[in-house]
Amino acid sequence: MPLPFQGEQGQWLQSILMILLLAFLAATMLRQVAAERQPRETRRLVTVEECGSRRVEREFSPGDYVGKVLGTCDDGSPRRVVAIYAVKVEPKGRRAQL
Amino acid sequence: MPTWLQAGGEATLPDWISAISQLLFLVIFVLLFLGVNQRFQIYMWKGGIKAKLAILEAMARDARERTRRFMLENRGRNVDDVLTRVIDFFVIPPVDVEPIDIIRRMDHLFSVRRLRLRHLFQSAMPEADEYVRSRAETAGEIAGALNFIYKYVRHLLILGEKTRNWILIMQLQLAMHQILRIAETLRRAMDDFLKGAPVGDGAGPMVALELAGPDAEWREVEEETVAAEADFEGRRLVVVKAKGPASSVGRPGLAVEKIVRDLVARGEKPALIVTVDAALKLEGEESGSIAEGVGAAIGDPGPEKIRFERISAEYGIPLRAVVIKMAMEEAITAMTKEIYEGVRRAVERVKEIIRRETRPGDLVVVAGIGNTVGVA
Repeated sequence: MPLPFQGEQGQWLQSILMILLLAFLAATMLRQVAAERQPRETRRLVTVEECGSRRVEREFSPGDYVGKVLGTCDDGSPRRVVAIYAVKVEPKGRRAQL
Repeated sequence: MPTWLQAGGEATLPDWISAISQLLFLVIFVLLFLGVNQRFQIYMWKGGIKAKLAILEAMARDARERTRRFMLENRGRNVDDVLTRVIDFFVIPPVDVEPIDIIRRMDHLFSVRRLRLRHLFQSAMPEADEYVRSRAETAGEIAGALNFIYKYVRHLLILGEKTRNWILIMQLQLAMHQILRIAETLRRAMDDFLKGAPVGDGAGPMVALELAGPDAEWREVEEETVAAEADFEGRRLVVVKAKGPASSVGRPGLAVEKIVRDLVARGEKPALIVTVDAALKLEGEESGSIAEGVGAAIGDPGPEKIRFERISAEYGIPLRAVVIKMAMEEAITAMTKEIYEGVRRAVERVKEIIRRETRPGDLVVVAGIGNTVGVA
């Protein structure tokens, strides 16, 4: 019984295997390069305002700082910024990276 | 034997592929003994470093350009000249083989540096307020740090090539991922400082702000450092932090030393000093988690920290520390929700320590250490 790499058919098989091997190596290298290119993380800045015991979140706007008095609440108490923090935004079609 | 080698035989495509591949393998085998594989590996590493160096160069250039734009938007004058000087500004560390008075010398050098940089920005942005100017100053320092990273990586690459130090090139290539990560963090930090958003390092001042309460009256006790008094379950609190919302860390050690000496002179010795600061977490630890201990929680190279230690030791006042843990990236970029929640937990922990270790009527000094950008 002839071995798989013998004869004319075997030579074709050898060539095909070699092409497959090269293709596999190229694909592996491309995957490594793609893995190094991590997507840039997206964040959103949120400002938290407090009126008495009520807290409201809104988009951060330039000039906001923690402790800033923005005006008065309905009950006459000052409306203040009590926190500013970044929240991660989930990219479309991707799971959030925490 | 391949058919094309047989007399009178026609060479087919598989014959050619087989012959060329065998020849190639033979050549590669011979080249292995001549060290060509190592040269090829170094060529690949150098290519990788050069590609990442181009990214670092773009980041450094962009940081400078954004600082320049920010200064011009705020009616800056002579901006290019100021930035050139700031970006390459350096401090020569004090002599450490002779440690006598090293803290005083270090303190002096840092003070001179701070004053020189402030003067440069004051002359370049005379119409801007302190809040805007401090952000430009921090952005200038970040641009300087990015520029230094770029120049240092370039230096190592050229040095490795010149001296054929392949180990240096290999080490550089292996470290490039981490270097890029640091540079990317600095780039993001610049965005947040220019916006004026609180950073993770602002956790300490936020704890101080919360303890003092919204109606506290802050008075300046030292350069860019403020203090306020508050009442907590019958104890008198003296809360200290840097003056916000400008980007500053103030002089908390100097301020606490001055406050304690004044209080002792009036016969009111504090029963406790508590320092609160952001601390670098170990990988695997949760961001925003809290830990407490003994000592001065302050990430300063020495001059401020030693004042806490000296004053507490001199008067026998217990010195306690509460830290909010975070990664280096989180400390210099916009505060995350996890860290904000850590701030609230730290406030509760400080209150617990005060309740447990002091009695009503006692005096407690609490110092919130960190950068006050975006925190009043």
